[in-house]
Amino acid sequence: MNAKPSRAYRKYRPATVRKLFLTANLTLWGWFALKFFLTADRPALQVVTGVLALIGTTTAVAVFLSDLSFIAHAPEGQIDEFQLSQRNRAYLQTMRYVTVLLAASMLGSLFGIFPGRDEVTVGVLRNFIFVLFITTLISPAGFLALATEELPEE
Amino acid sequence: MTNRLKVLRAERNWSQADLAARLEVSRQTINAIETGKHDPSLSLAFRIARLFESNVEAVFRDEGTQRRDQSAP
Repeated sequence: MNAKPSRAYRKYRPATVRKLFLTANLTLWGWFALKFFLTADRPALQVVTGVLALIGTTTAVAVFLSDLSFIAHAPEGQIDEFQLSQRNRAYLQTMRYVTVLLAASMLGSLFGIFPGRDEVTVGVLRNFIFVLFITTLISPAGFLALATEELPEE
Repeated sequence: MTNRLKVLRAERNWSQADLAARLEVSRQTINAIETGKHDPSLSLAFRIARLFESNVEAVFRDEGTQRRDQSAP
């Protein structure tokens, strides 16, 4: 069965979702990284981190409201067998994405690569969990977009 | 596995979207079957065959059968 997404979802081309997904990832992780270098005497950097957060959050919401996100989160009975197999692959890639990030963060904390720190504050952990949560939430739709080819007009 | 979906569809002048609507699947699914990227389940294969008023073997052929047919005298 192939159900139509509700009107809350936007019909974007896969290439558009791909760009939005990559932008969301780059800007949100960029925001997380730049936060380490924020000081009161660097107003320009504060503006840049603010802009990155805004772009990252907006593009993540756009990915979440795409019709590929509907496929990523729809009940199994509402999508067909090919969509289901594509979705299962996207979830496997999402699991790998989360695993790699957690491994990287663990190595970072073990070897103290966080700039000038051998400890992690509540703020850093909160930011990390925020970015990980948002990017993981949109990852199935993003990986679906990466695997979906553009169909020519008939 | 190869299939004659594109030919059968063209004979009836149906677009991929038309066929997808008749089978209640997405156009991506029809395209994936036609290009050999997805082998349909038995139930979908039977639905396709029924829609074309044919049998499964007339629409889908597996490579083993093809090789056997070609090597037969």
